[in-house]
Amino acid sequence: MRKSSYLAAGVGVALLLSACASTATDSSSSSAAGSAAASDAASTAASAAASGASEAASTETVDLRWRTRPDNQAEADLYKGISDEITASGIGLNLTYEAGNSEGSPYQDKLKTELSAGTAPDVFWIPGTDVADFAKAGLILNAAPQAAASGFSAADFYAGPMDQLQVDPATGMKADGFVWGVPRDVSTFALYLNLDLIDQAGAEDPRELAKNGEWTWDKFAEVSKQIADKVPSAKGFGANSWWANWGYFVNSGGGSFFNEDRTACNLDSPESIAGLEFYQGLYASGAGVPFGEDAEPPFKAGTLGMFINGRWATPGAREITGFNWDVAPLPTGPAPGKDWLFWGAYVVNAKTANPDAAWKLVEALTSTDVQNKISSLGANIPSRVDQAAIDSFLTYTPPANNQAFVDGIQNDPVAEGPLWNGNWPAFDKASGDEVTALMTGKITIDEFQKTICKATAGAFE
Amino acid sequence: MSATTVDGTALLSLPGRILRPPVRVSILIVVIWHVVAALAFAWIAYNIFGAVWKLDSLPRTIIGIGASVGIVANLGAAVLLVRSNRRGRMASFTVNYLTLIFVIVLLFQSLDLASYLDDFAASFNQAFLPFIGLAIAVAWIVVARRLKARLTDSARADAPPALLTIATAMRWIGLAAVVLFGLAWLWLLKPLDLLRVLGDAFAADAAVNTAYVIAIVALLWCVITMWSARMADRFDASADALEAQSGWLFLSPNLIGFLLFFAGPLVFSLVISFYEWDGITSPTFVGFGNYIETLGISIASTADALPSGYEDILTAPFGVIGASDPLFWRSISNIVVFLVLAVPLAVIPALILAVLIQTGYRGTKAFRTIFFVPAVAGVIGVTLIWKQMLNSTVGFVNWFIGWVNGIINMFVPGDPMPQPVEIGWLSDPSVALFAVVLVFGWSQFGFNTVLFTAGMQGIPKELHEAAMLDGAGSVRRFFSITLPSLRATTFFVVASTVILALQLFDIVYALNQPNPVGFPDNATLTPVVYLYQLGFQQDAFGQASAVAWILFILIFSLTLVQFRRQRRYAEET
Repeated sequence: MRKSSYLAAGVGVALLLSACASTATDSSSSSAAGSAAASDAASTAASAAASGASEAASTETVDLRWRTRPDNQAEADLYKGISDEITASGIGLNLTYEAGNSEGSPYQDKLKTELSAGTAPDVFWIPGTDVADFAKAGLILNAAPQAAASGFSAADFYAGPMDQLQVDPATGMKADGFVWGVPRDVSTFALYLNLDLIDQAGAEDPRELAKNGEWTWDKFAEVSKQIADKVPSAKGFGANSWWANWGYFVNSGGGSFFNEDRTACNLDSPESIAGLEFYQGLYASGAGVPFGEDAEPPFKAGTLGMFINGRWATPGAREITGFNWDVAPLPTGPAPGKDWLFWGAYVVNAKTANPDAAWKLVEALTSTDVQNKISSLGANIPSRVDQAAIDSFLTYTPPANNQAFVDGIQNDPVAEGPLWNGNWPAFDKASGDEVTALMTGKITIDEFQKTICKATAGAFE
Repeated sequence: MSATTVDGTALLSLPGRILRPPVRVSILIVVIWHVVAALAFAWIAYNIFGAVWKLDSLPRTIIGIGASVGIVANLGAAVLLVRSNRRGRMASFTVNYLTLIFVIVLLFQSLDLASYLDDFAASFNQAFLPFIGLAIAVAWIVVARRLKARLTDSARADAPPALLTIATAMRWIGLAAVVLFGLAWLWLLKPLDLLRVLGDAFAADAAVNTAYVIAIVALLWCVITMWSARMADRFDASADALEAQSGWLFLSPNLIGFLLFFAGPLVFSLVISFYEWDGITSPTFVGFGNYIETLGISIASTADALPSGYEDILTAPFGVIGASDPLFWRSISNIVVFLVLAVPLAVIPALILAVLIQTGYRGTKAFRTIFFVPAVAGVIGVTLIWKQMLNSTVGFVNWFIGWVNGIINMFVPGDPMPQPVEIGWLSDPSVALFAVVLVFGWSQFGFNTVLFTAGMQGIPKELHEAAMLDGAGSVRRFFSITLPSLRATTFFVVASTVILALQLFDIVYALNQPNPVGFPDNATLTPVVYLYQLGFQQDAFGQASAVAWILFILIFSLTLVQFRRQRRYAEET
């Protein structure tokens, strides 16, 4: 029995060795991050240019960890493949890709925890609305020196996101000498259509109406009502409750979330109120999936005619086999265009030990080739202003009418933006509560107009 | 030497004279070490309190207190040792043992060994097959040895020689497999790479890491020396004391883990509740500010008369009640309503089901298993299924209600029941909390059923039989025998369900997706959901911690009341 015990002990020791030894091959990246944690963010930024020369001179491979939030497993696999390809391309980067989200651990929560602990990856993706908070807290690197050294051109990317990524936190205004990241991709809203339901209701085809310039708010309400009235158990339209859905009608009505310099609330302006009043009326008509209900299940079940959602919903829609579907642009309001331009950016951890290599990775991840590969999966639109990228994107069908997304991007969109002079999460929470109260009938539109900017004032303090 | 004492010095017999000097010399060395350690802690305290090291107030306070404790503890241990006080040995052992662990953690951190642990799971993928092969080979050898032992047993002297040969061959095959898989494993795992990486990590900060290693060796020597039997004799340690010390030593890994990973964060959250902190930047001490901000209440004749920063949350006959944090009070009112509804729903059906199961009808065992499924199913997964079922337009629940309505309308003139049914279980503020109650009750009642069933098995059958002879029916027996006998079980079930209900988070979180947590209109905002919002969505970790501690006091108070009532009842009966 003693020999067996020795054997078991041997196995245990070997197991322990395996745990440690296997890390030996890929642990240097972790070590790099760990030692990076010790360096001060500000000094890292300041010394970025100086260290650039020595790094450039070095031919050694730099180990980096990077992270982005994939929308599905296929995308996660693709990102992993891209990471391996960049490593194999011989540009001096040895990459470790982390998907970063799981069922029990949302991407943002995990990232913030790691940033707090100093163990976040060298390069990571964040939503556009978070850029200001991260930059102001000193969590992400101002990569302007690296961008200048590499010949980075901001004009290659859509202006909406890029403008927000070149803001001086002290003034909240775009300024030279600031590059907080590069947009990974962009997206817009479109209307996902159940063509069979629309046909069954005898309603006009939104795609045709859009082509003829007749796809207006009123037509949208009319088609919705027709579907809800004429098809048993069906609903005309559906949207989820988060800010962009009702926000489109605010923008499209000629209003906006914020004043011109984004230092105060503008949701009480007559134009904003007009948009919200129309939106409230849509729900009050009973033609829609009730406000706050997830509209995706009824759309996939084939009982919803029109569903407002972004490009990220396309992979899910492609699984639909029970009915014919396509997309159309959002209906036009008093202010033409005004679809959202959603974006998120790759940013460099302020505590990275290798700022130049990290920037090199950001550029590699936002190259035309990589963006095309990712957008081919359907969930993303390239963030580069590049006709070739758009042409490629149009071929990634279904939906047949990909042009609806491109129109959204090109027709005077409103870029979602961080609040450089305020606190976006606080604004989101306060405005969301008020809009929910409005949509569920707890308060009237007049009461909303009186209270909304008071309720959100705390976000600008 | 006591049987419960380990003579650590025996482990060091080889360089015995150096490592095991006479007792008096050993004590002197340990005393000197304590003085050196106290000086080291004093140096840390000087750098902290003298602001040589520029640290934020919170880490400065924590490290400063730690260093001060280190000075006092080391000097105290040294004094006790010099005075040959009986407690000196254990004081020295304890201080050095804890310091040893602390220094090991520092070395662990310096070498960034945590990143290796992060990749622990990955190692299984890398060398999974050789590992499985190795495990099977080891098992194979064990089986072969036992087989051979049985065959060579005197009682089996007539075992065929061929079997013996097979058993021997099996053992050799097993050994060969161990060597083969072991080599494959080592080849895949590259131990030299491990050494290289560890060497690089060590060299990165060689001076500090060398100091850590020296400290670890010194501390280890002090610990072993103080634990030795000769020291126990020297300090007249009683057998009971030695036994207790051994117990504490065996308990220490768990205890230290508990302190580091449970009590530590708990205390940290208490500390941080007195700070304004976004989780990233330097925290600012605000005293009871977070508690005042959270609990602040004011009463005025009208809403307009409330102080600035207060919002009216309730209009009472005597005036308007305003709160500085209305969302907190909303979460409290929600959880009270939730408790009132969810606890009975999770307990009463469980009791009824347990009674039915106890009747012993055919299939009750299967039902008992089925009822337990919600308790073992993943909450998030199950809740996502409920979310689909509760969808107002395509969900099963509304469809079912509509179907029932349809049947009623078939028999009642005038079609009084509405169709189609579109109850906004997840979107209507007036019913959203009931949806959470429903899912919570469903997820809890199975486990409670099993608890009640276990409790019922402890009720003597004779009681029921005697009652039956006296002519008591099943209802009478339930209320006069079963229910009173289950009082302790009921107490446990109710207490644990109340605690779980007060901690409600996961169900709300999953049901609310893709809406914000607490949707709609904060109708499902519970205290834990609120503290999550504060911490992770509004980066207000200080106030989130304050809410957590207020909730703790609430749960603790409720449980204490329940315990006292239960104890009083037990004493009375």
